Amino acid sequence: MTSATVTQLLHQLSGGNRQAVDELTPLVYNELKRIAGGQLRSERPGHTLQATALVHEAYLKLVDQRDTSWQNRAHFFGVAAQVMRRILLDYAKGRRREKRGGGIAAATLDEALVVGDDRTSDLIEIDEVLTRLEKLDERQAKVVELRFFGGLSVEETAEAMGISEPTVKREWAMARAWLHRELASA
Amino acid sequence: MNPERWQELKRVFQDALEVPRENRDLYLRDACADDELRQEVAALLASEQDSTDFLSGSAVSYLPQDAQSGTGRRIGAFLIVREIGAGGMGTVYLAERESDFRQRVAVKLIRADVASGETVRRFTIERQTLAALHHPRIVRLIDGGTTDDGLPYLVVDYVEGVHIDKFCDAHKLGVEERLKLFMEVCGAVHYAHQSLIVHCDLKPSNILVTGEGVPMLLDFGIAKLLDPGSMGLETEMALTRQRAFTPRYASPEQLSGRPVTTAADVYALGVILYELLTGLSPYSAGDLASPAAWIKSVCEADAPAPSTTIPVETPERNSRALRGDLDAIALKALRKDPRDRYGSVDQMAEDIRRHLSGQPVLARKNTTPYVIRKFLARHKIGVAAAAVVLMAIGAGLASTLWEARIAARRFEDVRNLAHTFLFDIHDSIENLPGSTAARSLIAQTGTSYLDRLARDARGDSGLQLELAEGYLKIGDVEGNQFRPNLGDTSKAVESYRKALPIAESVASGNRKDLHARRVLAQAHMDLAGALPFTGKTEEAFEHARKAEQLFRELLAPGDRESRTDLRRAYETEGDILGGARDINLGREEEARAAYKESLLLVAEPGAGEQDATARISLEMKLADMDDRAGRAADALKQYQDMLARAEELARGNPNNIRVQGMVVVLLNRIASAQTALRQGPEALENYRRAIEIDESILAADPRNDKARSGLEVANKNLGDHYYYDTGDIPRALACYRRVAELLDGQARADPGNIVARLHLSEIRTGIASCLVKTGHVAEARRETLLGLEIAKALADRPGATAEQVYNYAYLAINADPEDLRDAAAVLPYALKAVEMGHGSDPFALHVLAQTYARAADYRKAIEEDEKALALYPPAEPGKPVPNAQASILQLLKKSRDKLKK
Repeated sequence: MTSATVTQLLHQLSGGNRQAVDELTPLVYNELKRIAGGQLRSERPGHTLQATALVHEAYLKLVDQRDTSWQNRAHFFGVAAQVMRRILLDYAKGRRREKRGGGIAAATLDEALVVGDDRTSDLIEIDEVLTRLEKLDERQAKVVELRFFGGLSVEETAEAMGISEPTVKREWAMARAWLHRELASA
Repeated sequence: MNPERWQELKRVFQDALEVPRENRDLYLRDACADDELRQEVAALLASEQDSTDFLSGSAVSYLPQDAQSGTGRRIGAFLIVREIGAGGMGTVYLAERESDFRQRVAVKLIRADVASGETVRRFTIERQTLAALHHPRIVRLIDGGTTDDGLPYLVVDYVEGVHIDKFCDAHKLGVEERLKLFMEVCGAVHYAHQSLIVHCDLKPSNILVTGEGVPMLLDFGIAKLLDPGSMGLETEMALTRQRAFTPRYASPEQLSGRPVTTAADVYALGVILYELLTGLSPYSAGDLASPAAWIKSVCEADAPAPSTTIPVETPERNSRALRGDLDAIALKALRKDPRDRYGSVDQMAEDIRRHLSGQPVLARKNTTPYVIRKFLARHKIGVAAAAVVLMAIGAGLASTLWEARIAARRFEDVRNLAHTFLFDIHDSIENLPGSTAARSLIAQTGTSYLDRLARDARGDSGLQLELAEGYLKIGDVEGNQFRPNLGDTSKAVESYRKALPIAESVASGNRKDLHARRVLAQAHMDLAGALPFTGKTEEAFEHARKAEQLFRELLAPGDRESRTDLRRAYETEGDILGGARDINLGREEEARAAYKESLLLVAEPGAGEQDATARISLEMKLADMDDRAGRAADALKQYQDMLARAEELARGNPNNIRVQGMVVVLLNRIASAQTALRQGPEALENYRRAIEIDESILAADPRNDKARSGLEVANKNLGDHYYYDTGDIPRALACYRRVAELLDGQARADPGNIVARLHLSEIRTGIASCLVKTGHVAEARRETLLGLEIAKALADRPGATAEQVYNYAYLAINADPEDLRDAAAVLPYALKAVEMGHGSDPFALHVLAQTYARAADYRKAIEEDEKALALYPPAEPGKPVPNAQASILQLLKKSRDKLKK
């Protein structure tokens, strides 16, 4: 895995080749996994993992830095966020199964990710609801994905999606409200 | 909810957000088309209020802290990822380096619940052991230490692989591939042994093979340190109780609690090999009911040979492949008594290597038929060719050029083969007593094989030709073409005679069969070469003529080989007619004519090194004839002309030993002629040059027989020069001793070498002469007697050649001290020598004269000497008389004087 490959794939992606995502995902996945583990330097409970930093670091590692196309960065973040979501959910689901005594945790993410209170179930539900939101409003769900799973700022989200910051804010606001309401009523 | 609805919802909601809170209700009433929408937006707005914290963090923060012990922990510079195994002593985890997650390691952490003093000690030993081992096939120790909780751990490379037996099965490896893999493992184990570490627990699960097929040795957990002190550990730490091994691979001594050595690892490897070859344990046939029964089996029952027990055969892995070598190797490693096993893992690997390259393995008894069979099979070149190669085993190597004669082609080929193959076949015949014995044994085997073949070959002309060629080759083995060995020439002739009728019948059966005619021509050539040595020189000539005829018929324009064949035929004719030293028909003119015909067939100068050397060697024969006929000056001129050409050739071919050798030969000739012409200083100089070249060749290639024999010649001639011409006895002695040194080595390496002994006899007496002159009479006497003993033994052999008989006569009648000269004893030999030389050998005649003179029969002495003198051209007035004639004249004078009295 070299930065050349990821860069190439990003090019393809921005060139309209949606399939590049399939190839990018595992590459990003591995890198994020690695970085995620590296982020934790202590066993203090409650230590929060900075997803943003994660994605940024992955970006630095994977993408050829000479390639300064903003489009690629944006796309990368888009992919990374997606990947992060997958990673986290896989892990969460794995843990949930274990808790219910349903076999060995298929821990795709290393147990090295050590974080705070146990809110795994919440995460799973959020994901489920988010999936419903995707069907209603793809753009809005994407914003959530980037901001919540990818840890991107409004500015970065705007950049990644090619929309204005105010738009991001508006979408984010509604998404949160809706998700919250959906979760509360569940 | 449908998309339009959603969009509407969104629009209203987002607009509502822009409106100050207190005005929102109003706005909603205005903006919403229906109540339902208004309610939804309101609800959303409310949710928006409540969810300030919602999704505020990142998703990762929703993940729990893992509470499993160990996992997620940091140990040293590594973070544990997951558990990969658990053993009696500890748990093994997969971990990654914190700072560089690309490095994956295996961390072995002692189990807290079994962390006794004993296990801690074991851990420490394992760590120290691994720290000492640096081998590409042994897992590398990276780190070690104790955790905060005081539990020791060690960190090694993470090897991702499969147990070796599973790997072999999964990849469907054949026998050879399994063996190669196994050999790599042996290399690692051997390395450990050399570091004085016995693994003690070798088994397939401790040998992982990676995806790339690289085997790695793991788990030195119960390794025994043969020298704990060298590891910095105190002796008490060395565990004496080694019961924590895997029974299935445990050696009898481990099972019975006896002391364990590296042989235990050899045993375990034997079991592993057995299993890799057959898929079964060696003792699976035995009683496995209880541990006790198992132990009994291992300690007492002999394992059955792998080829007999393999249950599932594949094309690659079947009992035929295992039978023989591999059976023996595996069983040798499994011997009950450690002393009966391989002495080292290295030996075992070496035996496997030998098996793979077709050489005989140590594990099997070294019977001669086995050895020969192996050799023939390995070279796959058929019996005929094999015989040629095998000739190299014997004295064929001793190309002692007492007169620096250029070797016949076949000899050259054989010698080249010898150099190529000697190394290979050295192993094969190592255990055979003396190479001459080996040679004759092989010739015997070959002959009987061919005789059997003859019975079956009738009617099959291709096979018959092969047969004929086989006999020819065997004949070459039996009779060293260049310097025939006693008794062997007649055997050679026998073989050649067997070939002839076969070749004749095939050739006459089909006139168009060129190959058959070539073989027939060759048979004639071979007979022509060998017969003179059995005294049948006339018959030899007939064969040479026939060979010439046939080769001329086979001559094809542009075909180098047929030209070369004809050229050699002419050369052989020339040799027989008058060119060869010992045996010729004395028809000098015809000999010259034949050589000249031969020269015509050599391509023009500049055509290549081969042709240039062929030309020179033919010219040398012509010059030699002049020299022997006493025309030393003529010969010298010719040699010098040749030397100039040879030196140019040598400059153009600096790496060609043959060409270099030719220069040396010529230098020797020139020096010898100059000596005869009393050009002392020049002769000396040329001997020195010759010696210099040869010493450097010999230094570069100690096996180079030509150089060695060149040195023998040069030193002998130089010694003679010092002794006879300059009277410098110490220098002469030094030269002779160098010769003796070289010859002695030769004779010892091959006791059957007649020629070396011949020359040794002569040198000994030469040394004796020097010693007499320097006053060391007693030592001289010893040397002489030794020399004469050798010479007489040679002369007495049935089939002794003229030269050998002459040699004894000459040495005996010229022996020093003088009182050893026994005329009566020598006479029969001297007479015989003259007879064998057909009365035309001046040297033999002179020796007879000397004998008569010693016996005080001066009349006869004069008679013989005059005969000898007559064979030389008259001495040129004003020029010094050549040595040979001088000594005759000297004796004549003495005899005449005595007679007068």
